[in-house]
Amino acid sequence: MEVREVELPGIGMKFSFETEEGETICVVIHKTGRREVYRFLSAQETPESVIELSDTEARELGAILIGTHFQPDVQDTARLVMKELTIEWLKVPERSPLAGKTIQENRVRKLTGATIIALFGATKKILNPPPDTQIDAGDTVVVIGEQAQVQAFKARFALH
Amino acid sequence: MLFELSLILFVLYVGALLAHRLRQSSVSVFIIAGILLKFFIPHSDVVGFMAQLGAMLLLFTIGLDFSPERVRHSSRKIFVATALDALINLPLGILLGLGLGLDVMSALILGGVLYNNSTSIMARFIIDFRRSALPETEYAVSISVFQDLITALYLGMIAGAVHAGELDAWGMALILVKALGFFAAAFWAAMLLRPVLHRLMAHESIEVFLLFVIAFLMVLAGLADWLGLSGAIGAFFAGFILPEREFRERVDRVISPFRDLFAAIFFVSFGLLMELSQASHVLLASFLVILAAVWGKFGTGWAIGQLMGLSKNASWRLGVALIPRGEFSIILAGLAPTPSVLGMTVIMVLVLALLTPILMKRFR
Repeated sequence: MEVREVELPGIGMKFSFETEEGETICVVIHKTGRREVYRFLSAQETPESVIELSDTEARELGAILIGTHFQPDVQDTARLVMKELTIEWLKVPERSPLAGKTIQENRVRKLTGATIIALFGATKKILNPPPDTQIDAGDTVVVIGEQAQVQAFKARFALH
Repeated sequence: MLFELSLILFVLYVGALLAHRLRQSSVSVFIIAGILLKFFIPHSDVVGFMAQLGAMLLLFTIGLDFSPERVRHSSRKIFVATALDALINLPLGILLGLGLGLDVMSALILGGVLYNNSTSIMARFIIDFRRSALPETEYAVSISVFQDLITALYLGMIAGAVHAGELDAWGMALILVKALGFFAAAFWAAMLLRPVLHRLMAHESIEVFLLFVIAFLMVLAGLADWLGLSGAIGAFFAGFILPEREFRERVDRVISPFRDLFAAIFFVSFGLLMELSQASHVLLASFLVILAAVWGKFGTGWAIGQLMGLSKNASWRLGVALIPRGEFSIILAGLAPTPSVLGMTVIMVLVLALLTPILMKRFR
């Protein structure tokens, strides 16, 4: 599944992807924190429906969607991945190889399979950081992946 | 003086409240407030100075939306779309100005006035009408941001030319070289100074941070002024150079209160400067300017739609999104040797702010 990411200056960020049924789901995260979820039917240019959420509501919905509260019984591999998917918040110590380098330089995804989805520091808050984002000691990275991938990530970059 | 200021600020407060309630752009409400205040207080040097600060802070925040990275990472499509927009609307405004019998300088200014649409007013309409995710919106917002860069250079040149007084080919060329040189220098400085600026701005104290940002802004504004360009263009490039991503929120947080305050006074000062007796003279001209402002952008929407394969509806919507004009047009118009340009521009900005939501409902 390919997620397309576009910056909308003055508005925020837009993420879109196509579902198996051919619908396009489009999430706009406004600078104010407001979220909009647009649903476009296939080959339609105007949205079939729009959902508006506040920052808190969006986080809660996100947690529900990712299976925090209830995880269905595992029957096929797609669900297995879903169940094993974990997210961790990790502080980057001075000695970690991550510190002082960009995500690209550390080849995070290539080496461990895990993906950094957010980066927080004293003065920064970057959601979905691009590969050329530098990580500094003291930052907190939010990483997503399967259990093993996240474990590999922690081991490789000395994060505990 | 304090009495006048208190009156201005009280009216601004009521105006902002009203704009919020009516969901109108506060720009138009503030200008109207200025026109009303004209009956009670004169335009003074103090107001003029605060207005100038407002213009610089406005352009600084516009410049913040921009960075060398954005220029380099933007796709060819966006450059083509931006060029189309400029090629349609700049000449349209200049020709209209000449047709209305303005002097060359004022006609050039009218070109810029018609060309630049307001990024902030547009973003507000797009959000209100829930069009953020529609295909044409990417073009609309990107064009609008690039437009600001082009207009900043254009403004620098015009300000230089107005400053120099006479307009000969050499003088114009020199100013062009200066403006482009300033841009190139800002671009390279941005790339080279990034690590240093990054360290300086990462200071924990918000006080240090604030003074750093303001001092940085003022130094560049002063530099541009010294070069005979315009303080405003210096402020724009100060925003351009500052590292965007990490510090955007922090800069916004410390600067926006000052910007909102002084920008409000900036718009009021234009109301104060308007000659009401003159407004009746420029009504017909304003009507033509508004027509050109609307159809020029429809033309842009259509041309971009044709080239990029947007649907007919999306092309119309793109045109409509680009219609609102705002702060940049007013700053430009304030430089025009012919005072009627300012009158026309203010009327145009007001009418377009009211017209855009109507058109947005019409073109779905």
